[in-house]
Amino acid sequence: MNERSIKFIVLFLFFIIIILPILNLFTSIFSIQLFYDSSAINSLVNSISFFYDPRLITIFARTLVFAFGTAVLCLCMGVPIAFLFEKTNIPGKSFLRIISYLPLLIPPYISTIAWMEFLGTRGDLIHLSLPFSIYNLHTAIIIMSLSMFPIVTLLTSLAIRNLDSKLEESASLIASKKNILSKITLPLIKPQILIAGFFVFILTLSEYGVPSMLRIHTYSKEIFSQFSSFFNLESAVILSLPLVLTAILLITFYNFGLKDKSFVTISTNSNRKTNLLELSKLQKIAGLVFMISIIILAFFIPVTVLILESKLKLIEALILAQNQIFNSLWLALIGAGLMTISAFFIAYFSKNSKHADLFILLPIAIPSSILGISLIYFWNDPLSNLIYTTFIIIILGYLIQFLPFVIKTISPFLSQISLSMEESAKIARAGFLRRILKIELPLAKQGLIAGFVVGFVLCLRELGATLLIAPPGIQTLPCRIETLMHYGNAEMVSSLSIILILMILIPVVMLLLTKKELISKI
Amino acid sequence: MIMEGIKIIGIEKHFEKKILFDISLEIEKNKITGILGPSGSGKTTLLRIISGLEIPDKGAIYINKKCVCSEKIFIEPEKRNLGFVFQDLGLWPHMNIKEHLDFVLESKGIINSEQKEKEAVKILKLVKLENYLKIYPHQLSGGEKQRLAIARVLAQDSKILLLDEPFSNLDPVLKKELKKELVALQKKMKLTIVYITHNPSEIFDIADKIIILKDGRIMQEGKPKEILKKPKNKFIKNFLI
Repeated sequence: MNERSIKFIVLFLFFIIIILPILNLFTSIFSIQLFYDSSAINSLVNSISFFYDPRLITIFARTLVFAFGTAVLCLCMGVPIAFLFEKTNIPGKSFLRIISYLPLLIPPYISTIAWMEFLGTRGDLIHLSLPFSIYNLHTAIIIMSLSMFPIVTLLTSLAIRNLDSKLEESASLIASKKNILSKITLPLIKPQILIAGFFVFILTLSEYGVPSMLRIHTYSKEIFSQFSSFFNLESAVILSLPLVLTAILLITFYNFGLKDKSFVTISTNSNRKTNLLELSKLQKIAGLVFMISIIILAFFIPVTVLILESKLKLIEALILAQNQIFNSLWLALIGAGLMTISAFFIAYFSKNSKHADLFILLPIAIPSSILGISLIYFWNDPLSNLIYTTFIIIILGYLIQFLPFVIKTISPFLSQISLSMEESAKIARAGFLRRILKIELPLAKQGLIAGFVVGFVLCLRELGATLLIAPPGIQTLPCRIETLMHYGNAEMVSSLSIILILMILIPVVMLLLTKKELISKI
Repeated sequence: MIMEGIKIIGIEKHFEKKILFDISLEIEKNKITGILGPSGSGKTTLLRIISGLEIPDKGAIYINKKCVCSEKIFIEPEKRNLGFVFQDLGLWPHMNIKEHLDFVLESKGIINSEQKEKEAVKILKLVKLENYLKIYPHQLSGGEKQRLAIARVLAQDSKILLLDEPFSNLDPVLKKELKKELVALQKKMKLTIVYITHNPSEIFDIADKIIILKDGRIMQEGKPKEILKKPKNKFIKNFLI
């Protein structure tokens, strides 16, 4: 098979699996039904009239506040931490850097469960009585930010590290380190900081778990209710429109306005050890207190609460949910494997395309519940029963949601492979598959491993779409936790949450232990 | 008339702006041709077009009388039987020297281990790397890396070598030594070499023919002595100083 036919197959599969179900859902609702079915017009008009409903406008505004608040708070926590790691002489930063990324491994809905047990109405062991309720938007923003700030830290750190040190060194001849930081470094990495905030905003916009558990009515929750409680497909899809359009608008802005404004280059002149700001003793203490408090709030308190609430009934929980644990594991393994292979080829073929991101990032713009509905709508057909009634639909659910993240993990590793390495092989008369197998794959090995782990972790924690699409007889661990939540079984919920965190943590720790060079990259 | 070697007729290319304007030239067989010009003159683009790594907007290319590129024909780089040494060499960091040559020999269809070993040692002797079979690129010195890049193209059995500023990162002493080896190799193996550089001193003493490019246009071409004696304009005169 030559390069062109493989490219065609990969792009065709990407279109069928990822793009077509989404397009099909929206076009079916808006055009075909309107054209053939007059009753659909009334139904559509009714659905559209939802937008004039003040209740919905309030919900949409609340969702925007939720996403914006989370993005701002994440920037307030993530950017200073990244600067402390990369530009100061704060002690213990190698260790702190690793543990500051741990909150990313706890699904936000699990953190919410822990905080509800600690400060809310759930749990009975270490419950703290507060004079106010935690079931509000502020709590949702704080919990979501504590889960997502490592994304900002990671992207800002990478931006600072990859900034060409010559840019700062040339300023160091005439300016103080503080001035360089505020006048040179910060403005140069501003686009990367905005991109980090943008990703947090988009991800929060369609978050279902956290607001749903805190009983806050956001758009994602409303969409989910319209479909799962009232089976009103049209309303669910039409309701998602403002959310989808906001996200698509932002992705377009990112693609055309933000991505190319980057001043960050992959430079051989590492600036990790140059231009470090010498902190005073007091500043060091303040910096450490700031970082450690956030890490304690984001990771250690939720995990400790869950451990205490579980009363260490882990074995009992393992027996109770052994099928779901097993299902989660093998489904995540298959999902991550398929995602890694397809992400590699998509990243490879889109390497030189300027606007590929518009398509690659499209699924991120769609709430997970709508992605689930689009899969049901597309595959629920007697002809595709083999897909719809088996585990394959869950795998497709993983692919449609998480492929963009795996592609974005693998593509930086691919773009660092010098073009001449592949061209040398081409000139040496090596065919496409031989070049891929012998040159690109071995050189992108680290990226593939990282992509697999990212995919595996995301699949393991997935809740929103699986709740809708899982066929009878196949339940995953997050779905089991969600079901148990409704019965108020705090012990089991906590134990299973601990098991889920361990299932996510173990492969990540193994990866970092076996591939130590990756630690230096994060 | 189409000659042996490389013939280029009316090549044009643009990316964001036009890089090459109606380039026509001839590269003689078994000779060293130097393409010289300042940064941004279009040298590398021209070399990449000859190799097939870039497709021109207009024009035709003949290699040994065979059309490899025209309005209707485009032969893929892997089918042009050319060797290319890239400016950054493009060595594969995960392969040792023997594996580099094995990769090329296997692509040529040689799969027998003994035959591969024999061929590899024969080629590595030519570039004085025969004792480094298990060494990886990062363990080699600058000069040894250049030799490996040349060995890799020699393993292809190609009689035409395209060299894109191959010695630009080396110190003057090593550069001189490698140039001497390159000329010896060219004579011994009857190679046609296209050598591009921005540094006149790198090419004038070894080239049979020089082509000077500026802003995507040919400024002057001829034998090195002729050009030195009669630079066509002030730019060339200043450039050669």
